[in-house]
Amino acid sequence: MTLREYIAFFDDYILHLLIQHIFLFLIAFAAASFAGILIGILIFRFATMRLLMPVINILQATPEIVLLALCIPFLGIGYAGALVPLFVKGILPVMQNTLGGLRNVNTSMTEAARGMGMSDRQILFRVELINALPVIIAGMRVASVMLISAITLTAYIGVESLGTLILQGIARMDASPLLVGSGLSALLAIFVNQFMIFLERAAMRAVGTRK
Amino acid sequence: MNIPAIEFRSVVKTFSSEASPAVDHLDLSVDHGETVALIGPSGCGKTTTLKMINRLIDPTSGTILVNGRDIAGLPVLDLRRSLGYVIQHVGLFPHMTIARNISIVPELLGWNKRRIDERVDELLTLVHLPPAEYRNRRPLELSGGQQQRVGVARALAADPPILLMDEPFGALDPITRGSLQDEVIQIQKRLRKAVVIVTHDIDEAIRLGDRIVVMEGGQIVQSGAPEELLANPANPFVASLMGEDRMIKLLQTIKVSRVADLGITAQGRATIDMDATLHDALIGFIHHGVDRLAVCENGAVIGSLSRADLFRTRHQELPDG
Repeated sequence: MTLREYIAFFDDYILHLLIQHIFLFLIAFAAASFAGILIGILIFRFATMRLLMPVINILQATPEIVLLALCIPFLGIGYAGALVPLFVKGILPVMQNTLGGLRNVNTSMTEAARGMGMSDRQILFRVELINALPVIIAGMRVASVMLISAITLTAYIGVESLGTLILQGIARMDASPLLVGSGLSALLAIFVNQFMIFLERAAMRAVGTRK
Repeated sequence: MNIPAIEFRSVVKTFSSEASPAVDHLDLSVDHGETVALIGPSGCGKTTTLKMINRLIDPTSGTILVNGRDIAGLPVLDLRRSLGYVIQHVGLFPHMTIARNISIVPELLGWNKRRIDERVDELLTLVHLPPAEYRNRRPLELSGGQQQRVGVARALAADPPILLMDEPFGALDPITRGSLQDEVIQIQKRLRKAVVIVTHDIDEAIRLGDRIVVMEGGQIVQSGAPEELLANPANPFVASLMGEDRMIKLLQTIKVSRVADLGITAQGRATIDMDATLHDALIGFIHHGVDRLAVCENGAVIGSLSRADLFRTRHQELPDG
Protein backbone atom coordinates (compact mmCIF):
# COMPACT_ATOMS: atom_id res chain seq x y z
CA MET A 1 0.00 0.00 0.00
CA THR A 2 1.31 3.42 -0.87
CA LEU A 3 1.06 6.22 1.66
CA ARG A 4 -1.81 7.76 -0.28
CA GLU A 5 -3.75 4.50 -0.39
CA TYR A 6 -3.09 3.94 3.31
CA ILE A 7 -4.48 7.34 4.25
CA ALA A 8 -7.51 6.89 1.98
CA PHE A 9 -8.30 3.50 3.46
CA PHE A 10 -7.74 4.30 7.14
CA ASP A 11 -8.86 7.95 7.18
CA ASP A 12 -11.54 7.44 9.86
CA TYR A 13 -9.15 5.54 12.08
CA ILE A 14 -6.40 8.17 11.66
CA LEU A 15 -8.86 10.93 12.51
CA HIS A 16 -10.01 8.99 15.56
CA LEU A 17 -6.40 8.61 16.79
CA LEU A 18 -5.68 12.30 16.13
CA ILE A 19 -8.71 13.36 18.17
CA GLN A 20 -7.73 10.92 20.90
CA HIS A 21 -4.21 12.39 20.89
CA ILE A 22 -5.53 15.94 21.17
CA PHE A 23 -7.93 14.87 23.91
CA LEU A 24 -5.13 13.31 25.98
CA PHE A 25 -2.98 16.37 25.36
CA LEU A 26 -5.62 18.85 26.49
CA ILE A 27 -6.25 17.01 29.76
CA ALA A 28 -2.57 16.52 30.62
CA PHE A 29 -1.69 20.06 29.53
CA ALA A 30 -4.48 21.76 31.47
CA ALA A 31 -3.70 19.78 34.62
CA ALA A 32 0.08 20.32 34.31
CA SER A 33 -0.35 24.06 33.70
CA PHE A 34 -2.67 24.47 36.66
CA ALA A 35 -0.42 22.46 38.99
CA GLY A 36 2.76 24.09 37.66
CA ILE A 37 1.44 27.63 38.20
CA LEU A 38 0.06 26.73 41.63
CA ILE A 39 3.29 25.09 42.83
CA GLY A 40 5.31 27.96 41.35
CA ILE A 41 3.25 30.48 43.34
CA LEU A 42 3.52 28.42 46.52
CA ILE A 43 7.30 28.12 46.26
CA PHE A 44 7.51 31.86 45.49
CA ARG A 45 5.46 32.80 48.52
CA PHE A 46 6.49 30.20 51.09
CA ALA A 47 10.16 29.37 51.57
CA THR A 48 9.38 25.96 53.08
CA MET A 49 7.72 24.87 49.84
CA ARG A 50 11.20 24.81 48.32
CA LEU A 51 11.38 21.25 49.74
CA LEU A 52 9.25 20.25 46.76
CA MET A 53 11.98 21.21 44.32
CA PRO A 54 14.17 18.06 44.53
CA VAL A 55 11.10 15.83 44.19
CA ILE A 56 10.02 17.62 41.05
CA ASN A 57 13.56 17.63 39.68
CA ILE A 58 13.89 13.85 40.14
CA LEU A 59 10.55 13.28 38.45
CA GLN A 60 11.67 15.53 35.63
CA ALA A 61 14.94 13.65 35.15
CA THR A 62 13.08 10.34 34.82
CA PRO A 63 12.34 9.40 31.18
CA GLU A 64 8.65 9.39 30.22
CA ILE A 65 8.70 5.69 29.38
CA VAL A 66 10.09 4.81 32.83
CA LEU A 67 7.40 6.89 34.53
CA LEU A 68 4.73 5.16 32.46
CA ALA A 69 6.10 1.77 33.48
CA LEU A 70 6.43 2.76 37.13
CA CYS A 71 2.81 3.88 37.27
CA ILE A 72 1.37 0.63 35.93
CA PRO A 73 1.43 -1.23 39.28
CA PHE A 74 -0.46 1.63 40.94
CA LEU A 75 -2.73 2.93 38.23
CA GLY A 76 -2.98 -0.04 35.91
CA ILE A 77 -3.07 0.36 32.15
CA GLY A 78 -5.56 2.76 30.74
CA TYR A 79 -6.25 6.49 30.91
CA ALA A 80 -5.11 7.02 34.50
CA GLY A 81 -1.85 5.17 33.93
CA ALA A 82 -1.23 7.20 30.78
CA LEU A 83 -2.27 10.64 31.96
CA VAL A 84 -0.73 10.80 35.43
CA PRO A 85 2.92 10.35 34.36
CA LEU A 86 2.43 12.79 31.47
CA PHE A 87 0.85 15.34 33.75
CA VAL A 88 3.80 15.01 36.14
CA LYS A 89 6.26 15.57 33.32
CA GLY A 90 4.43 18.67 32.21
CA ILE A 91 4.58 20.39 35.60
CA LEU A 92 8.24 21.31 35.79
CA PRO A 93 8.65 23.72 32.87
CA VAL A 94 5.48 25.56 33.89
CA MET A 95 6.52 25.69 37.54
CA GLN A 96 10.06 26.85 36.79
CA ASN A 97 8.86 29.64 34.54
CA THR A 98 6.14 30.69 36.98
CA LEU A 99 8.74 30.96 39.73
CA GLY A 100 11.27 32.71 37.49
CA GLY A 101 8.63 35.06 36.08
CA LEU A 102 7.40 36.03 39.54
CA ARG A 103 10.93 36.54 40.85
CA ASN A 104 11.79 38.78 37.92
CA VAL A 105 8.87 41.16 38.34
CA ASN A 106 10.39 44.60 38.76
CA THR A 107 10.77 45.24 42.50
CA SER A 108 9.92 48.93 42.08
CA MET A 109 6.44 47.83 40.99
CA THR A 110 5.90 45.60 44.01
CA GLU A 111 7.36 48.21 46.35
CA ALA A 112 5.00 50.84 44.96
CA ALA A 113 2.08 48.41 45.28
CA ARG A 114 2.95 47.58 48.89
CA GLY A 115 3.54 51.25 49.74
CA MET A 116 0.12 52.17 48.36
CA GLY A 117 -1.55 49.68 50.66
CA MET A 118 -2.26 46.68 48.43
CA SER A 119 -2.57 43.41 50.33
CA ASP A 120 -0.23 40.49 49.53
CA ARG A 121 -3.03 38.82 47.61
CA GLN A 122 -3.81 41.96 45.60
CA ILE A 123 -0.13 42.36 44.77
CA LEU A 124 0.09 38.72 43.64
CA PHE A 125 -2.97 38.78 41.39
CA ARG A 126 -3.02 42.38 40.18
CA VAL A 127 0.69 43.00 39.76
CA GLU A 128 2.99 39.99 39.98
CA LEU A 129 1.11 37.26 38.10
CA ILE A 130 0.05 39.60 35.29
CA ASN A 131 3.56 40.83 34.74
CA ALA A 132 4.97 37.27 34.92
CA LEU A 133 2.41 36.05 32.36
CA PRO A 134 4.63 36.12 29.25
CA VAL A 135 7.26 34.02 31.04
CA ILE A 136 4.62 31.63 32.40
CA ILE A 137 3.16 31.16 28.91
CA ALA A 138 6.66 30.44 27.58
CA GLY A 139 6.92 27.64 30.16
CA MET A 140 3.53 26.32 29.10
CA ARG A 141 4.74 26.31 25.51
CA VAL A 142 7.73 24.13 26.42
CA ALA A 143 5.42 21.78 28.33
CA SER A 144 2.91 21.60 25.47
CA VAL A 145 5.46 20.58 22.82
CA MET A 146 7.01 18.06 25.18
CA LEU A 147 3.58 16.56 26.00
CA ILE A 148 2.51 16.17 22.37
CA SER A 149 5.56 14.05 21.61
CA ALA A 150 5.39 12.15 24.93
CA ILE A 151 1.74 11.19 24.37
CA THR A 152 2.80 8.92 21.50
CA LEU A 153 4.29 6.66 24.20
CA THR A 154 0.87 5.88 25.72
CA ALA A 155 0.42 3.36 22.92
CA TYR A 156 2.81 1.10 24.84
CA ILE A 157 0.30 0.75 27.67
CA GLY A 158 -2.66 0.30 25.43
CA VAL A 159 -4.06 3.82 25.32
CA GLU A 160 -4.75 4.85 21.75
CA SER A 161 -3.00 7.92 20.35
CA LEU A 162 -1.00 8.79 17.24
CA GLY A 163 1.66 6.61 18.92
CA THR A 164 -0.51 3.60 18.04
CA LEU A 165 0.27 4.19 14.36
CA ILE A 166 3.96 4.54 15.12
CA LEU A 167 3.97 1.23 17.00
CA GLN A 168 2.11 -0.46 14.13
CA GLY A 169 4.61 0.91 11.67
CA ILE A 170 7.52 -0.43 13.70
CA ALA A 171 5.86 -3.83 14.25
CA ARG A 172 4.94 -4.32 10.57
CA MET A 173 8.02 -2.68 9.14
CA ASP A 174 5.55 -0.42 7.29
CA ALA A 175 6.55 3.17 6.57
CA SER A 176 3.01 4.45 5.94
CA PRO A 177 1.54 4.32 9.47
CA LEU A 178 4.94 5.39 10.83
CA LEU A 179 4.95 8.48 8.63
CA VAL A 180 1.31 9.32 9.30
CA GLY A 181 1.67 8.89 13.10
CA SER A 182 4.92 10.77 13.50
CA GLY A 183 4.05 13.35 10.84
CA LEU A 184 0.71 14.24 12.39
CA SER A 185 2.15 14.52 15.90
CA ALA A 186 4.94 16.74 14.55
CA LEU A 187 2.40 18.95 12.75
CA LEU A 188 0.31 19.12 15.91
CA ALA A 189 3.38 20.15 17.92
CA ILE A 190 4.26 22.87 15.41
CA PHE A 191 0.70 24.21 15.40
CA VAL A 192 0.45 24.30 19.21
CA ASN A 193 3.90 25.88 19.46
CA GLN A 194 2.87 28.67 17.09
CA PHE A 195 -0.37 29.21 18.93
CA MET A 196 1.49 29.53 22.25
CA ILE A 197 3.96 31.98 20.69
CA PHE A 198 0.97 34.05 19.61
CA LEU A 199 -0.41 34.03 23.18
CA GLU A 200 3.02 34.86 24.59
CA ARG A 201 3.34 37.91 22.35
CA ALA A 202 -0.17 39.07 23.18
CA ALA A 203 0.74 38.84 26.89
CA MET A 204 3.98 40.73 26.27
CA ARG A 205 2.06 43.52 24.58
CA ALA A 206 -0.38 43.62 27.48
CA VAL A 207 2.39 44.11 30.04
CA GLY A 208 4.30 46.47 27.78
CA THR A 209 7.48 44.42 27.24
CA ARG A 210 6.70 44.32 23.51
CA LYS A 211 5.16 46.98 21.33
CA MET B 1 -0.30 72.67 71.00
CA ASN B 2 -0.47 71.45 67.44
CA ILE B 3 -0.08 67.76 66.88
CA PRO B 4 2.78 67.15 64.42
CA ALA B 5 1.97 65.22 61.24
CA ILE B 6 4.75 62.75 61.95
CA GLU B 7 6.69 62.21 65.14
CA PHE B 8 9.56 59.78 65.85
CA ARG B 9 10.19 59.06 69.51
CA SER B 10 13.52 57.41 70.24
CA VAL B 11 13.16 55.08 67.26
CA VAL B 12 15.76 52.34 66.77
CA LYS B 13 16.00 49.99 63.81
CA THR B 14 18.57 47.20 63.84
CA PHE B 15 18.68 44.86 60.85
CA SER B 16 19.52 41.28 61.77
CA SER B 17 22.31 41.21 59.18
CA GLU B 18 24.13 44.20 60.65
CA ALA B 19 25.87 44.87 63.95
CA SER B 20 25.20 48.59 64.33
CA PRO B 21 21.68 49.99 64.13
CA ALA B 22 20.56 51.55 60.85
CA VAL B 23 18.56 54.13 62.79
CA ASP B 24 19.75 54.92 66.30
CA HIS B 25 17.44 56.61 68.82
CA LEU B 26 15.94 59.00 66.32
CA ASP B 27 13.75 61.85 67.52
CA LEU B 28 12.17 63.85 64.74
CA SER B 29 8.92 65.60 64.13
CA VAL B 30 7.41 66.96 60.95
CA ASP B 31 4.66 69.57 61.09
CA HIS B 32 1.66 69.86 58.80
CA GLY B 33 2.55 71.91 55.75
CA GLU B 34 6.26 71.44 56.31
CA THR B 35 8.70 69.90 53.84
CA VAL B 36 11.56 68.05 55.52
CA ALA B 37 14.49 66.80 53.44
CA LEU B 38 16.43 63.86 54.86
CA ILE B 39 19.96 63.81 53.51
CA GLY B 40 23.16 61.92 54.17
CA PRO B 41 25.53 59.35 52.67
CA SER B 42 24.35 55.87 51.61
CA GLY B 43 23.60 53.77 54.64
CA CYS B 44 23.00 56.75 56.94
CA GLY B 45 19.48 55.49 57.68
CA LYS B 46 17.50 58.10 55.76
CA THR B 47 15.58 55.63 53.58
CA THR B 48 15.00 53.31 56.55
CA THR B 49 13.59 56.29 58.45
CA LEU B 50 11.18 57.08 55.60
CA LYS B 51 10.05 53.48 55.15
CA MET B 52 9.28 53.17 58.85
CA ILE B 53 6.60 55.85 58.41
CA ASN B 54 4.50 53.67 56.08
CA ARG B 55 5.65 50.50 57.82
CA LEU B 56 7.45 49.00 54.87
CA ILE B 57 10.01 48.59 57.66
CA ASP B 58 9.00 48.12 61.29
CA PRO B 59 11.15 49.71 64.01
CA THR B 60 13.02 47.54 66.51
CA SER B 61 12.03 49.89 69.33
CA GLY B 62 10.56 53.34 69.87
CA THR B 63 7.32 54.89 68.73
CA ILE B 64 6.23 56.58 65.52
CA LEU B 65 3.12 58.74 65.60
CA VAL B 66 1.19 59.87 62.54
CA ASN B 67 -1.30 62.64 63.34
CA GLY B 68 -0.81 61.79 67.00
CA ARG B 69 -1.62 58.10 66.67
CA ASP B 70 0.87 55.30 67.23
CA ILE B 71 1.16 53.61 63.83
CA ALA B 72 2.00 50.24 65.42
CA GLY B 73 -1.65 50.10 66.49
CA LEU B 74 -3.16 51.05 63.13
CA PRO B 75 -4.16 48.52 60.44
CA VAL B 76 -1.13 48.57 58.18
CA LEU B 77 -3.02 48.68 54.85
CA ASP B 78 -5.23 51.57 56.04
CA LEU B 79 -2.12 53.44 57.17
CA ARG B 80 -0.40 53.02 53.79
CA ARG B 81 -3.52 54.06 51.86
CA SER B 82 -3.61 57.27 53.91
CA LEU B 83 -0.02 58.24 53.00
CA GLY B 84 1.22 59.32 49.56
CA TYR B 85 4.33 57.44 48.47
CA VAL B 86 6.68 58.29 45.60
CA ILE B 87 9.74 56.14 44.84
CA GLN B 88 12.81 56.69 42.66
CA HIS B 89 11.99 54.06 40.05
CA VAL B 90 8.36 55.24 39.91
CA GLY B 91 6.94 51.69 39.78
CA LEU B 92 3.99 52.37 37.50
CA PHE B 93 2.14 49.24 36.39
CA PRO B 94 2.83 48.76 32.66
CA HIS B 95 -0.30 46.69 32.07
CA MET B 96 -2.60 49.52 33.17
CA THR B 97 -3.38 52.87 31.56
CA ILE B 98 -2.16 56.08 33.19
CA ALA B 99 -5.69 56.71 34.52
CA ARG B 100 -5.87 53.29 36.17
CA ASN B 101 -2.40 53.68 37.64
CA ILE B 102 -3.46 56.93 39.28
CA SER B 103 -6.73 55.48 40.55
CA ILE B 104 -5.19 52.57 42.47
CA VAL B 105 -5.53 53.99 45.97
CA PRO B 106 -9.01 55.49 45.36
CA GLU B 107 -10.08 52.07 44.05
CA LEU B 108 -8.64 50.36 47.13
CA LEU B 109 -10.62 52.86 49.21
CA GLY B 110 -13.80 52.01 47.30
CA TRP B 111 -14.50 55.36 45.64
CA ASN B 112 -17.16 55.28 42.92
CA LYS B 113 -16.10 55.42 39.29
CA ARG B 114 -17.35 58.92 38.63
CA ARG B 115 -15.46 60.39 41.56
CA ILE B 116 -12.31 58.50 40.51
CA ASP B 117 -12.54 59.73 36.90
CA GLU B 118 -12.93 63.33 38.03
CA ARG B 119 -10.01 62.99 40.42
CA VAL B 120 -7.77 61.47 37.72
CA ASP B 121 -8.41 64.40 35.36
CA GLU B 122 -7.86 66.89 38.17
CA LEU B 123 -4.51 65.30 39.07
CA LEU B 124 -3.28 64.99 35.48
CA THR B 125 -3.99 68.69 35.07
CA LEU B 126 -2.14 69.41 38.32
CA VAL B 127 1.03 67.69 37.04
CA HIS B 128 0.70 69.30 33.58
CA LEU B 129 -0.23 66.22 31.58
CA PRO B 130 -3.39 67.11 29.57
CA PRO B 131 -5.96 64.44 30.61
CA ALA B 132 -7.46 63.96 27.14
CA GLU B 133 -4.03 63.12 25.77
CA TYR B 134 -2.60 61.06 28.59
CA ARG B 135 -5.51 59.37 30.37
CA ASN B 136 -5.55 56.27 28.19
CA ARG B 137 -1.86 55.92 27.41
CA ARG B 138 0.42 53.29 28.88
CA PRO B 139 3.34 54.13 31.20
CA LEU B 140 6.01 52.82 28.80
CA GLU B 141 4.88 55.31 26.13
CA LEU B 142 5.92 58.16 28.46
CA SER B 143 9.36 59.67 29.11
CA GLY B 144 11.02 59.20 32.50
CA GLY B 145 10.01 62.68 33.62
CA GLN B 146 6.39 62.20 32.52
CA GLN B 147 6.30 58.84 34.31
CA GLN B 148 7.39 60.45 37.56
CA ARG B 149 4.74 63.16 37.11
CA VAL B 150 2.24 60.33 37.00
CA GLY B 151 4.01 58.86 40.06
CA VAL B 152 3.43 62.12 41.93
CA ALA B 153 -0.21 62.28 40.75
CA ARG B 154 -0.74 58.69 41.91
CA ALA B 155 0.68 59.50 45.34
CA LEU B 156 -1.68 62.48 45.66
CA ALA B 157 -4.72 60.55 44.37
CA ALA B 158 -6.62 60.10 47.62
CA ASP B 159 -5.51 63.53 48.88
CA PRO B 160 -3.29 62.21 51.69
CA PRO B 161 -2.17 64.80 54.27
CA ILE B 162 1.34 63.34 54.21
CA LEU B 163 3.57 62.70 51.21
CA LEU B 164 6.63 60.43 51.44
CA MET B 165 9.19 60.73 48.65
CA ASP B 166 12.13 58.36 48.38
CA GLU B 167 14.76 59.94 46.08
CA PRO B 168 11.91 60.79 43.70
CA PHE B 169 13.93 62.58 41.04
CA GLY B 170 17.26 60.75 41.40
CA ALA B 171 16.94 58.87 38.12
CA LEU B 172 16.08 61.92 36.00
CA ASP B 173 18.34 64.18 33.95
CA PRO B 174 19.14 67.56 35.57
CA ILE B 175 16.74 69.62 33.43
CA THR B 176 13.78 67.30 33.97
CA ARG B 177 14.67 67.04 37.65
CA GLY B 178 14.67 70.84 37.96
CA SER B 179 11.27 71.21 36.34
CA LEU B 180 9.75 68.47 38.50
CA GLN B 181 11.22 70.08 41.61
CA ASP B 182 9.60 73.36 40.56
CA GLU B 183 6.29 71.59 40.15
CA VAL B 184 6.53 69.98 43.57
CA ILE B 185 7.22 73.45 45.03
CA GLN B 186 4.15 74.84 43.20
CA ILE B 187 1.97 71.91 44.24
CA GLN B 188 3.17 72.18 47.82
CA LYS B 189 2.35 75.93 47.87
CA ARG B 190 -1.25 75.05 47.02
CA LEU B 191 -1.77 71.85 48.98
CA ARG B 192 0.40 72.37 52.10
CA LYS B 193 1.08 68.69 52.81
CA ALA B 194 3.56 67.38 55.31
CA VAL B 195 6.30 66.17 52.96
CA VAL B 196 9.27 63.98 53.85
CA ILE B 197 11.74 63.70 51.00
CA VAL B 198 14.82 61.48 51.06
CA THR B 199 17.58 62.71 48.79
CA HIS B 200 21.33 62.56 48.33
CA ASP B 201 21.28 65.75 46.28
CA ILE B 202 22.01 68.74 48.53
CA ASP B 203 20.72 71.20 45.92
CA GLU B 204 17.41 69.34 45.88
CA ALA B 205 17.28 69.46 49.69
CA ILE B 206 17.96 73.22 49.66
CA ARG B 207 15.33 73.90 46.98
CA LEU B 208 12.55 71.76 48.38
CA GLY B 209 13.18 71.62 52.11
CA ASP B 210 11.76 74.05 54.65
CA ARG B 211 14.08 72.09 56.90
CA ILE B 212 17.04 69.86 56.14
CA VAL B 213 17.84 66.95 58.42
CA VAL B 214 21.38 65.66 57.96
CA MET B 215 21.86 62.05 59.04
CA GLU B 216 24.96 59.96 59.57
CA GLY B 217 25.23 56.53 61.16
CA GLY B 218 21.51 56.43 61.93
CA GLN B 219 21.54 59.66 63.90
CA ILE B 220 20.69 63.28 63.20
CA VAL B 221 23.84 65.35 62.84
CA GLN B 222 22.13 68.65 62.25
CA SER B 223 18.61 69.83 61.56
CA GLY B 224 17.58 73.28 60.48
CA ALA B 225 16.49 75.63 57.72
CA PRO B 226 18.64 75.43 54.57
CA GLU B 227 20.23 78.85 55.15
CA GLU B 228 21.07 77.91 58.72
CA LEU B 229 22.93 74.80 57.61
CA LEU B 230 24.66 76.70 54.81
CA ALA B 231 25.74 79.56 57.07
CA ASN B 232 26.56 77.57 60.19
CA PRO B 233 27.28 73.90 59.50
CA ALA B 234 27.59 72.04 62.82
CA ASN B 235 30.74 70.16 61.88
CA PRO B 236 33.10 69.48 58.96
CA PHE B 237 30.89 66.61 57.77
CA VAL B 238 27.88 68.87 57.31
CA ALA B 239 30.12 71.57 55.82
CA SER B 240 31.45 69.16 53.19
CA LEU B 241 27.96 67.84 52.50
CA MET B 242 26.70 71.37 51.91
CA GLY B 243 29.59 71.80 49.46
CA GLU B 244 32.62 74.01 48.93
CA ASP B 245 30.31 76.51 47.29
CA ARG B 246 27.89 76.66 50.19
CA MET B 247 28.27 80.43 50.52
CA ILE B 248 27.11 80.77 46.91
CA LYS B 249 24.20 78.42 47.65
CA LEU B 250 23.39 80.49 50.70
CA LEU B 251 22.97 83.50 48.41
CA GLN B 252 20.53 81.42 46.33
CA THR B 253 18.29 80.90 49.34
CA ILE B 254 17.89 84.58 50.20
CA LYS B 255 15.71 87.01 48.30
CA VAL B 256 16.85 90.52 47.48
CA SER B 257 13.79 91.88 49.30
CA ARG B 258 15.18 90.60 52.62
CA VAL B 259 18.40 92.64 52.62
CA ALA B 260 17.73 95.54 50.23
CA ASP B 261 17.63 99.05 51.60
CA LEU B 262 14.20 100.27 50.63
CA GLY B 263 14.81 103.86 51.71
CA ILE B 264 17.54 104.81 49.29
CA THR B 265 16.81 104.55 45.61
CA ALA B 266 19.66 104.13 43.17
CA GLN B 267 19.80 105.33 39.62
CA GLY B 268 21.08 103.68 36.51
CA ARG B 269 20.51 100.77 34.21
CA ALA B 270 21.77 98.22 36.72
CA THR B 271 18.59 96.85 38.28
CA ILE B 272 17.51 93.74 40.13
CA ASP B 273 14.01 92.45 40.88
CA MET B 274 12.75 92.26 44.47
CA ASP B 275 12.02 88.55 44.11
CA ALA B 276 15.42 87.67 42.64
CA THR B 277 17.96 85.91 44.89
CA LEU B 278 21.18 87.39 46.21
CA HIS B 279 22.93 84.98 43.84
CA ASP B 280 21.28 86.78 40.93
CA ALA B 281 22.35 90.06 42.52
CA LEU B 282 25.98 88.87 42.75
CA ILE B 283 25.90 88.11 39.03
CA GLY B 284 24.38 91.57 38.48
CA PHE B 285 27.22 93.29 40.39
CA ILE B 286 29.84 91.42 38.37
CA HIS B 287 28.02 91.82 35.06
CA HIS B 288 27.41 95.56 35.40
CA GLY B 289 30.63 96.32 37.28
CA VAL B 290 28.79 98.42 39.87
CA ASP B 291 28.71 98.70 43.65
CA ARG B 292 25.00 99.33 43.88
CA LEU B 293 21.95 97.90 42.10
CA ALA B 294 18.53 99.53 41.84
CA VAL B 295 15.88 97.24 43.33
CA CYS B 296 12.69 97.06 41.32
CA GLU B 297 9.19 95.88 41.93
CA ASN B 298 7.00 95.53 38.85
CA GLY B 299 9.48 97.65 36.94
CA ALA B 300 9.48 100.59 39.39
CA VAL B 301 12.59 101.34 41.45
CA ILE B 302 11.79 101.01 45.15
CA GLY B 303 15.20 100.75 46.79
CA SER B 304 18.80 99.72 46.39
CA LEU B 305 21.18 96.92 47.19
CA SER B 306 24.87 97.52 47.86
CA ARG B 307 27.64 95.01 47.32
CA ALA B 308 28.34 95.17 51.04
CA ASP B 309 24.81 93.93 51.73
CA LEU B 310 25.75 90.60 50.16
CA PHE B 311 28.57 90.05 52.57
CA ARG B 312 26.48 90.77 55.65
CA THR B 313 24.52 87.57 55.11
CA ARG B 314 27.22 85.30 56.54
CA HIS B 315 27.63 86.87 59.97
CA GLN B 316 24.65 89.01 60.62
CA GLU B 317 21.22 88.03 61.76
CA LEU B 318 18.87 88.41 58.80
CA PRO B 319 15.59 90.20 59.20
CA ASP B 320 12.67 87.82 58.81
CA GLY B 321 11.28 87.86 55.40
